[in-house]
Amino acid sequence: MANPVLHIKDAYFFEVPKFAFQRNFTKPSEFPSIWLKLDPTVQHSEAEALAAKFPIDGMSTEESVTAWHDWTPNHHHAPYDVFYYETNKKAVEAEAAETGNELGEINSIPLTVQKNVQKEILNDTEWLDNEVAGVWEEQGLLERYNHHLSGKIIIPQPFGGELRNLHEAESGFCLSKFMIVELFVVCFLAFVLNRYSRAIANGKPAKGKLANLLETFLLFVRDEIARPSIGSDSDFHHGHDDHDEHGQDGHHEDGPETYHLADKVTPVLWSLFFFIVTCNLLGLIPFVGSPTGVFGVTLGLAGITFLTTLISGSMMHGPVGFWLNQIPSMDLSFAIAIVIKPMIWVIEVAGLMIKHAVLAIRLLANMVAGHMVLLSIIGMAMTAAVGGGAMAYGVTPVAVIGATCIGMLELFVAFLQAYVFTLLSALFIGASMHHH
Amino acid sequence: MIKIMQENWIRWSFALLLVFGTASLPAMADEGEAKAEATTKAPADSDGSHKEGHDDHDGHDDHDHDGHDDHDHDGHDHHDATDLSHANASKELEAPGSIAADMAIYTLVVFILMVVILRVAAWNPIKKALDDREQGIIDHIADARRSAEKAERLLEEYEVKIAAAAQEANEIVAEGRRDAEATKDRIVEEAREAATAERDRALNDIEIAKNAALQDVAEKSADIAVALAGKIVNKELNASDHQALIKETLDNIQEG
Repeated sequence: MANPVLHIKDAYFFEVPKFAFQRNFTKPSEFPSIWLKLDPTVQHSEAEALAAKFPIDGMSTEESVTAWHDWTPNHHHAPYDVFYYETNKKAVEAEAAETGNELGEINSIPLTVQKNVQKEILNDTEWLDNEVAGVWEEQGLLERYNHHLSGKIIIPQPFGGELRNLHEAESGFCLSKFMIVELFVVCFLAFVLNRYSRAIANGKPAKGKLANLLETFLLFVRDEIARPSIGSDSDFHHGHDDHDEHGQDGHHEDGPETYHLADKVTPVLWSLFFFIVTCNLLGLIPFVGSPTGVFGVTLGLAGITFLTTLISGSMMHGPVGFWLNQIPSMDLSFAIAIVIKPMIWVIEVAGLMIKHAVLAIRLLANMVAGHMVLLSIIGMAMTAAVGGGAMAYGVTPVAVIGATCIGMLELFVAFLQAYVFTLLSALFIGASMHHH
Repeated sequence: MIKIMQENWIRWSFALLLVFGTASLPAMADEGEAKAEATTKAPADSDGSHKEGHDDHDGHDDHDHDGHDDHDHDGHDHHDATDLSHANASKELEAPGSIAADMAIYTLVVFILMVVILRVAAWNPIKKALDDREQGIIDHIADARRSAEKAERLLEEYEVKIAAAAQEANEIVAEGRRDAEATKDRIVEEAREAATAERDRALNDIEIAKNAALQDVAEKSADIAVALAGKIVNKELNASDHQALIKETLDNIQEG
């Protein structure tokens, strides 16, 4: 098994059981170009072509290729351009260390040159299907490659992005698995929630299991998260700025509490909660994985919270007032205040950023940790099975039951973390709207 | 037996899965080993050094060395150089916290898009529907309260009316009783009076009859006496004598 983290991280293919998506390529030219690009024979040819134009300093083309050949197996079978860059980097670093200067510019092969070389090689179908096919035949690679590619539905890259391998992007905008999953989540939520909204239109009561379930969450987020965290309109009655137009419609002298301001933020919190909980739950479905187990996604979501904090705070206090509002009101004499307050401001603003970054890290860590525990428990059974013998019959049931129990815990964590993220977002947004 | 299985099918299928899973895992492993052997026999890599590759890897894949680097499970064998899916890996590949900026920006954009779409497709209608329902419930409660108040008022009114009616009825009954009593008394009185009158008349009649009879007797007696006297004295009596004689006789009779 490759590093299990690869199962949690984003990828550029959808994984399905191998039997469900059999690959039966008969010749190299049929293989996806990303796969060919990583094939040692193709890479060798690429190295030769690149080394002719960009040999390593002080080496001939042949020497450069040989040097790359010795180097690459210990470096994840990286192609020549990586070797070229790394070698140059080493030289530049050595020079910098010697002279004590800053790092100089590191020579690298221009992307366009490399792309053109690759294109030329991969378009040479005849060469691929004769010479490369011959090497593959000799080493039994065709069968192995088909085996490895089975069950991997590689995502097409319509936006011109270039992949580094099936797990990493090289350049440009590459459409990844979780990007598609996110789009699916958006469509799913739009469909389900739209249906629900039509079912309860005109104040009709919710009917059915799904509608009631959705309503429970919707009302929980609104009544238990948004409204208490942001506060009622009367909380904003005292001392909000004059140019705040939003506070005006919520002031009733008496009667029940109104929450017009809190309800303005509620849709964002609703979206956050439903998006996160759906993404989290997708992680419990085999072969899908949860987008919230990827730092980019949680960072993006924390960015949403930060933007909402920024916008709602600026709407309450003005664009400048929002930042000035970060300083808590302190009873200080002018002389002390002029020293202390800027320092406090720096700390508070840093705290604001850190709070939101932690929001992203917390969700990521929770999702990754749960999946890692599951992976290690299943891995236990796999290891025992590979060890063979009677031990596997003892370990497997324990591992299956253990994985089931952790799966239950994961189910709980999926909801809990969605709740925690939404609650903290609401608190941050609420804090930005109130006077300190 | 079958019935029990049908009722607890979830538990049974779980148990079956467990048994089959336990039974098939070692078999799968054997198969995998066989395949892997085939692979290692083949000259998989041109320089043959792939087995001990990744030296520069700071310990990430150490655990891969313990025992299963010569088999092939799901085709994720890290040391299987024929799996190119993660060849040319960068240092970030196996870090779970590596930051994918494109993903972050993509998520931000997709999420904002989602908020915009859902605002139109769901949040605003849901907000409105919930508010409508809330308003509806408030209205219903107010309606119910009004109805209850009205009912209470009506009840009070009717209670008063019923009390009045009962009083009236009592009065009517009492009056009826009084009337009946009075009527009874009157009838009894009238009857008594009638009876008295009847008796008086009867007594009167008796008196009259007695008097008439006495008159008659007196007259007859006088006549007889006169005739007798005439016979005795043989003389004619004049009228006054006659009258006086009657009177005398009557008195005698009366006295007698």
